[in-house]
Amino acid sequence: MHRRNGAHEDFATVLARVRAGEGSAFDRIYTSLAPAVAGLFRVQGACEPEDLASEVFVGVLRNLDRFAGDERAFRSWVFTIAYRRLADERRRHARRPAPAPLDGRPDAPAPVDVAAEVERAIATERVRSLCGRLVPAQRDVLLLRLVGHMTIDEIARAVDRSPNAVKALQRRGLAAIVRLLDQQGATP
Amino acid sequence: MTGTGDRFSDMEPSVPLEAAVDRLVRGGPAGDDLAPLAGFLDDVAAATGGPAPPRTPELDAALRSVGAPREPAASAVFVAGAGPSSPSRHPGPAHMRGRSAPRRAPGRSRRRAWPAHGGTPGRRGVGRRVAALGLAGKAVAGLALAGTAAAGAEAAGVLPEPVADAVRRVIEIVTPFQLPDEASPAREAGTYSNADATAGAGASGGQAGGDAGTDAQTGGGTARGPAGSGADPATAGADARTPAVGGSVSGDWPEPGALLAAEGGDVAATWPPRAAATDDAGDRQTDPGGGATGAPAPPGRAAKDEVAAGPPEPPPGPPVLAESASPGAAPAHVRSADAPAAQPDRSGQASGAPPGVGPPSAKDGWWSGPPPAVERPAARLPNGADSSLRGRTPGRGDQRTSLAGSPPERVGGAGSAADEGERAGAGSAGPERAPGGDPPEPARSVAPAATGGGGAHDREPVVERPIPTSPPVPGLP
Repeated sequence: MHRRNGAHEDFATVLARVRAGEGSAFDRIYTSLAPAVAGLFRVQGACEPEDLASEVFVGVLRNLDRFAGDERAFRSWVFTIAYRRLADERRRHARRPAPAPLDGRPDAPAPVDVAAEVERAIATERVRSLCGRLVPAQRDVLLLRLVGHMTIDEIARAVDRSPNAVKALQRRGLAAIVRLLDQQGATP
Repeated sequence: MTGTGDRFSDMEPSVPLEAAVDRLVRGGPAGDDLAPLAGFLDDVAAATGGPAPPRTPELDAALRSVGAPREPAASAVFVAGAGPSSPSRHPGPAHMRGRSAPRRAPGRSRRRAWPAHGGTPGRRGVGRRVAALGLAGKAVAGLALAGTAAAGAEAAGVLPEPVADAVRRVIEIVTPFQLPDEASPAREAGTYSNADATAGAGASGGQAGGDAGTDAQTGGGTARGPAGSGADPATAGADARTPAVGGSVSGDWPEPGALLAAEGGDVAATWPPRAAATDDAGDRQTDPGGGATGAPAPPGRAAKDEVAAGPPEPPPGPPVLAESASPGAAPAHVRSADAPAAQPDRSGQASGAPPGVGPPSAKDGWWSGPPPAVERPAARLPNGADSSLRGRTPGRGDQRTSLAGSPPERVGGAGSAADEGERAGAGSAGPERAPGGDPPEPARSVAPAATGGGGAHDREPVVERPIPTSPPVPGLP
């Protein structure tokens, strides 16, 4: 990920610097993975996607000593934490409904790139509308696969299912997405 | 083979999509296979892209704490496959060997009392835990097991008589429970009043007379009986029990030396020592056949039931406190003439109470006399027999009486019934009815069969009292 961002630093070095408490090294990891994590929460319908993403990285920092692996394993590890945090969020909201927003709350500050923000909001809504018609297990597998770039085995470990079950879920989910896109005629 | 609900139309076109997605995930180029999903993948990329959300203060705090030294236990425990676990003295089952040590709280004991799943250990588990105990622990466990087994066997009634009695005594001493006496006929008959008409039992060899003191007083009066002078042991050991009319009586087998058998005199020998032993005419309930026939009571057995069968009558005297006789009090034979004269008897009457203080009954006659002396010449009963108080040793019956908490009730409405014949003639007996619903009859005096005419076989008159029952319900046949 760092090479994609133009950094020529090895991931192991960055991780070692993060473990040493260097903030700049953590910023590189955070800016690389936090948008995807927050987007995952967003398309999954979480109430506070940014806060949840922040909690995920708090967990990453707290358990950083336990991680061992390369960049790909690190990404899979982060999204595994995100998936479990999302499951906690769902359970929490199942017990206690989400609080209603205040009527007179102040407007949020305008984003820097309004067009990009609007485009992202529209795309998020389309993905949510499509994934909302899937079975939750299919949705989880597809989004972890497409957003988190996780392999079948990694997803199987994350969702506590067998790889064959994950494959079946992915197959049916993709087929359902194709069918829905055909029905909508939204294929560009 | 496909499962239920699988549709080939859904499955067949997804195979190239899976391969394309797999290539995409692995960082390869997305080919034409992903054309049906191109719009969806673009939306996913747009939704998950963009700037990173701002960091929260919690995240900054966590970042600051990353470089700080921490406890090394967290990483050492959870890293799976980091290496073989430390060698243990108990390697554990084969399928657990080589695994890392389970997480355990620092202060938690290594030995777990029960399995983690909450179930009870099996026989192997129990045997293992017992084997792991120390010598003292094994001894304590064995003693507890033996005690429990003995108590259970005693409760089941499978022990021999002496052993059962010993076990019962031990149980009653060490526990607050009072075990029932299965061998007692009182248990089967329900309520018994035991006067322990052991007439003159102490004459020979210090044989105890029985429970006349407590038992008869529980019935409402002061126990008195004929003097036990030279009683025939065979006759003296009679343990008379009659169904209780209004009192709760229990009796114990007389213990040796418990009876102060004064020759020809009345001796305050009741238990507890506070009970009065004043008069010479005993107010007691006797078995019509028990005292007369002189059948010896079974050794080591006593009637203990104290439930009143008849309708309760308010005690005529003040509340009885002498019921709470403690086993540690002085036994009856210790008390003699130097004992305080004015001791409240079990019916609340003081032995030396002035006339009129006692309950208004036909027995006021003996209250009106001088304060009772411990040593008095035996009075002559109407049938010519000497009366005496029979002592008894502290027994379970006394304690039971006190534990039962039931106030003593008068039998026949008189505490002493000094002259039972007189009472019978006067008709002063209370409204008593026979258990079978017979109409009330005045108490009548029955001459004891084994009365020897005032000698060694002197017996007190046996009184048959009708037992009160509940009044008939109108409307029922």
